[in-house]
This record gives sequence, C-alpha cells and structure tokens, in this order.
Amino acid sequence: MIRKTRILVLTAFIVAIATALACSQPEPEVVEKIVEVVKEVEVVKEVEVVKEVEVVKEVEVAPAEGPKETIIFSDLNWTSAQVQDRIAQYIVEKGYGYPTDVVFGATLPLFQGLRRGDSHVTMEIWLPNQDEAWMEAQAAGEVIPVGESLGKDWQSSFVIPAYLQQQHPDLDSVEDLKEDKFKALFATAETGGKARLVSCVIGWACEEVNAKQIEGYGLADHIHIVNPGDGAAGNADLYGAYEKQEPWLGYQWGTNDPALLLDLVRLEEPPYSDECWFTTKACAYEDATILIAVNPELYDRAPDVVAMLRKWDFNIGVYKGVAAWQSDNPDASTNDAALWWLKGNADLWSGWVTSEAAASINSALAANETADGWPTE
Amino acid sequence: MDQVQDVSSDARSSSLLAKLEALPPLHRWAIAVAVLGVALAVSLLIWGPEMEFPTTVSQRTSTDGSVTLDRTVRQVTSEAIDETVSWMTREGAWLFDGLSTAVTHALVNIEKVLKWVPWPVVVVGLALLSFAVGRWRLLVFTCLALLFVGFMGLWANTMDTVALMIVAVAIAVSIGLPLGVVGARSQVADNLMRPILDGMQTMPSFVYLLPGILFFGLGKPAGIFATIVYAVPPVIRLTNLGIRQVSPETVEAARSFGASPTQILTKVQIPMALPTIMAGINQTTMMALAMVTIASMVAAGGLGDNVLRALQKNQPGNGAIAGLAIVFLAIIIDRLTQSAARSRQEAMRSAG
Repeated sequence: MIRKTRILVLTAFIVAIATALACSQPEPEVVEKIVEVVKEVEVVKEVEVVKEVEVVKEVEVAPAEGPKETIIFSDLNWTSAQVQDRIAQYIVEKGYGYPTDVVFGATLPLFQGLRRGDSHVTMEIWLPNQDEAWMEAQAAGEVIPVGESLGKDWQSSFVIPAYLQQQHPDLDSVEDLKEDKFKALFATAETGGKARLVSCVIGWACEEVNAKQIEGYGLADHIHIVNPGDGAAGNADLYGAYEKQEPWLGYQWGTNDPALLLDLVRLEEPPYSDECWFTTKACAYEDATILIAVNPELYDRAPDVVAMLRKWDFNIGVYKGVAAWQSDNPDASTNDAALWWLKGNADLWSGWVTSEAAASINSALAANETADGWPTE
Repeated sequence: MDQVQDVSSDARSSSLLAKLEALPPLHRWAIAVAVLGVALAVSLLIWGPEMEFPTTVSQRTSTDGSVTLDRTVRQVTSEAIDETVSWMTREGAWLFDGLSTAVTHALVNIEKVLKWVPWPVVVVGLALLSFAVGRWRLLVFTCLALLFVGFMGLWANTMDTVALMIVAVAIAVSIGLPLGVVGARSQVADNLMRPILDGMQTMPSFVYLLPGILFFGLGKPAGIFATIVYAVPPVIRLTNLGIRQVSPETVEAARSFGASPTQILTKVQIPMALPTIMAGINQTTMMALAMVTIASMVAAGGLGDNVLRALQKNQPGNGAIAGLAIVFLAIIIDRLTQSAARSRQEAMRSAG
C-alpha cells in the first residue's frame, strides 16, 4: 500500500511539473494571449488620454482652484431617494467633472451627516416628518434648501389592500373601523379585540401625528397601534400579509415602495384644513413637501452643481415611470434604472444642466459609461 | 492513541478521504500541493492571469431594449431564497399563526400581571431577593436602579421588556436544554449543531429579522423569534459542555449500580452539570437583553422603543437614560441568576 501511495505522489508531482513547464514554455497559444494583453493595455492608454483632454477643457471653462473634490450624496434607505442620487451622481460626474460618492444610512444619522458636512447633498428631506430637526438646522445655517424633488403627492394615509376592499365593499372610510365586524378582521392575540394598525416608524413625526389622528377620529377604543422601528420592517409586514392575501390595515405614503408596487386603497378621511390640523388633527394629512438640501460648503466649492440642483425637476410622475420600469425588469439594479432613465429622458435633464455639461453627459451615455461613485448593489 | 484509531478506522472504511488521511504527513502535503498546483496551472492556462470572477449567468436587454442587464449568479441564488421564503410564508401560515398566537397570549398575560402588581411591591420584592443573594450592596443597588427606572417614566416599558425576557428565555431554555443533551450524547449531532450555532450568533440579526416579519408579522412574536435565535446558543453549548465534563467514572459507577440511561441523565449528569447549565442560562438571559433594541425594530415594544425614538430624534440624553435602564436590568438579572448557580454549586460541594 505504501508503494502505491508513493507511485501516486510521484505521478502527481510529474503532472504538476509538466504543467508548470507547459505554462512557462512559449507555445503559440500563450503568445496570442500576450498579444491580447498588450492590446488591452493600449486601449486603457487611449481612454486615459481622452480623460486628460476633458479635464483640461473644464479648467478652461470654469477657472476653478486645483482638482475638484468629491461630492458626497446621502443615500437614504428607500428607493426613490437612491434613484435620484444615482441620476444626480451621473450628471455631476460626467457633466461637471466632480468625483462623487455616497454614504448609506437611515434618515436621522444622514441628516446629522449633512449638517456636519460629512455628506453634501440630500435629495429628499421630507417635511413635515423631519420638521423638528430641519427647522433647527436651517436656523443654524447648517443646511440650505435648493429646491423641491418629487413634488407633492399624497403623503400619508391609512390604507388597506385592494383585494380586501373587494371582499368588504362597505369598508371604505376610517369611520367604518368602529364597526365590530371590521374590527374583527384586523384583530390579533396582541390587540385584545381591537383592530391592529401598523402605524409609523418609532420617532418619526408621523408616530405622534397618527396617534393624535386616531384619537381625533374617536378610534382610540377600536384601534391598537403597532409602531415598527424601521420603515423596512413596516413594509415587510405589509408584504407578508399581501403574500398571504390576509387583511392588513396601516399607514402608507405615496412614494413608499409598497404604495407603488401593491394595489392599495386609501380609507376616506375628513379633508385637510389648517383649523383641524393645528387643533385635533382629526383630518387627513396635507400633501408633503420634499426638499433637496445641501451643506453650505457646497455653495463655495461647487456653485455649478448647486445651480443644477436648483433647476432639478424630478416629479412624482417621472418617478412612477422609473418604478414601473423597475418592476418590469426585476433584475435591474438602481444603477441600471438611472442609466435607463438618463438615456431616454435627455429632453428632461438637459433643461437642468449647462449645454457643455449636457454634451459630455450625452457622450458618456453613448459610450455606456457608468458613474465611478455608484455603489455596487 | 489517535494514530491507532486512525489506522483502525482506515481498515474499516474504504473511502478515499480516509486513505489519504492515513498517509504520512509528508505524502499528504505533497499530494495536496500537487492537486492545488495542477488546478492553478490549468485555470491560468485557460483564462490567463487577468481573469475575473465570472459572475454573469446571462445577459439580456431591458423590456424597452435600451439598457443591457446582467443576470448574475447572486441574483439567481437570492431569487431561489426569496421564492423559498414566500413559499414558507404562504404554506406555513397556519404554523406561524398558531405559534404567534400562543406566544402572544403568554406574553400579554405576563405583562398584565407585571403591570397589575403595584410598583412598590416589585421594588421591595426584588430588594429582598437581592438581599438574600448579595447582602446590602446589591440591595441598595437594586433599589436605586428600580427607582431610577420608575422616576424616569420607564416603568411600563421596563415591565414589557421583562415580560419579553421571561418568555424568550423560557422558550430558549426549553429548546436549548434538550439540544444540549443531544449534542453531549451524539458526536454527529454535535458536529452538525456547532456550525449552525456559530451562524446564529454571527449572522447579522437584520438578515433573519426580515423573513421573521414575513412569517410572524410585526409585533411581539417576531421580536421573540429574533431574540431566541440570538440568545439560544449559550444554553445549548454550556449544557453540552457541562454534561461532557461529568467524569466518566461517576457515570460508570451509576451504570454499575443498574441505573437506566434516563436515570443516569436526570439523576447524575444533569445535576452534576447544573452549575455550567445555569451559567448558560445566565448568558442566554444577558444576550436576550442585548436584543431589546433589535426587537423594538419589529414592534415588540419595551425599552428598545425609547432607544430607537431617541436615535431617530437625535436626543442623546433620552438614549442614554433608556440605555442605562437596560443595563441596570441586566445587572440585576445577572446577579440574581449567577448567585442561584453559585448556591447550587455550594450545596453540591457540601453534599459531596
């Protein structure tokens, strides 16, 4: 047996040495490979040359001081903000020549980052949800609003899945939740006979607002509020119920993923009025304002980018188009979606940028370039 | 002794792996180096030195034909997992709903009792317990800690957290003890369990929180699920260890007196392993408390809510207060359970 293993070892060694020799010997195949490699190197060189030329041109256009520093975008943890980030990154990189990067995180940590200058641009500041922190930061001059994004859409309301309303056509307003038969639909072991309502993320302004609304509607004895600790958790709960086609009652807002992807119905609420909002809150939300904000530092070092953001006009209709394309193409990443949108909507974004920037963005798009600052997904 | 065992196992099994293991170390090394060398040489020959990982399975254009999309290995894999999770969500609904109802009933009732008892009674009761195990120092600490929690307006949330702990630890122990015993008795089970336990302790909790919500929905059951996944390993590991540490002579003695395997387990092994098992339960409780904030992510309520709210609203003060309340709770529970383990140990020593 020992002999056998010796033979085995020997043959293995011979094979290894033979292959090593084969690798080192300049056989025709290998030569071809080397030629290929040389070609690739040449290609790389060409690209470098082109880039250098571009940089020179930009320096001539805007006499800036030294190399352009990276502009960092706050990558909020929901899709519409990320799509807007990717599009803006592409425009800033290809059109204005600034390197870009993103920091990923939750709403408040990223807002603190924007105040401190750890990030420079946030594409979606949701008011009134972030009113408290926003007012404070704006008063201190730590953030500057440069325009609106997404425009006004239904911000927030209590919704049920459409399949549920088909089964129960009478259930169409918050008032109906007082009826026992509808309460029973949403009751669980935890709620003690009340209807379970998945409300707002703990700590967001809507947590208190929704609680006040429910009290104002006289639903306190009929509704048990469940507050998730994170937006994704609330969404997952809705996805789970939808998958099982079970009853679900909760709070959603227009640009949130489930509101775009699932068939949801809003329960009727009394219409918004200042009078009710500042007293009992027994009425629907006002449509939200969504701001683009920058750190003041950006004003000094990238006035051209600030000017572009001021013209930014990415309204909810445009975003719904992107969301529809993404659900048609589930393989597509957010980067793909941004590239697709930029390619097909030059008439829209070219209104936001200078004509030089538009030209270089278009040539980058034609070459199928991607932005260096895009995170991999 | 190891080598003798190797040879005997080699004689019995004819598998290639066993044969290779039986070779002298030098030969083993030579074979391993040769095999890997061949693999390296062949791959370099085929793909060249600048190869990248081939991650793309196929390419196709988007529905309107303007963008080329890569279909990657990761997409294929993750979609398979997604489908399994949605299948389980749909088909396992009866199981998860049942579990969740049972757990919620237990929790709601414990919460009711805890909140029904007037708080001075709880403070005095726990202070007495503390005095029994830790004398004056622990008594003073327990009183101050509980009063701090109360005066900060966190009493109700603390009771919610305590109820969550009680249920989570009870379930974790009732799962962990039998699994620990199985692991101690069967090497195969131990080998299977160890990587799974490692995974449970290191897998970021958000990864299993998401399917947890799909299965159980937002609420206390999902929080309990996440807590158990994270907190059950210590009680399994330490039960396993404790039983293995019982000296074989003692077990042999019991057997020679005619004890049945069940009797050996319940009358000899578990009592002798009890200090170690109690240490495991103590660890499990501590880890369960560490999950309080994560549990609040899925709307389990309790002190984690206060931490999260402070975080979202940028209130370091409120965050610190809620965090301290969790720490105080942990210290009290730790001292009480530790001393329970210690008194067991002392009782055994004096008896032995």
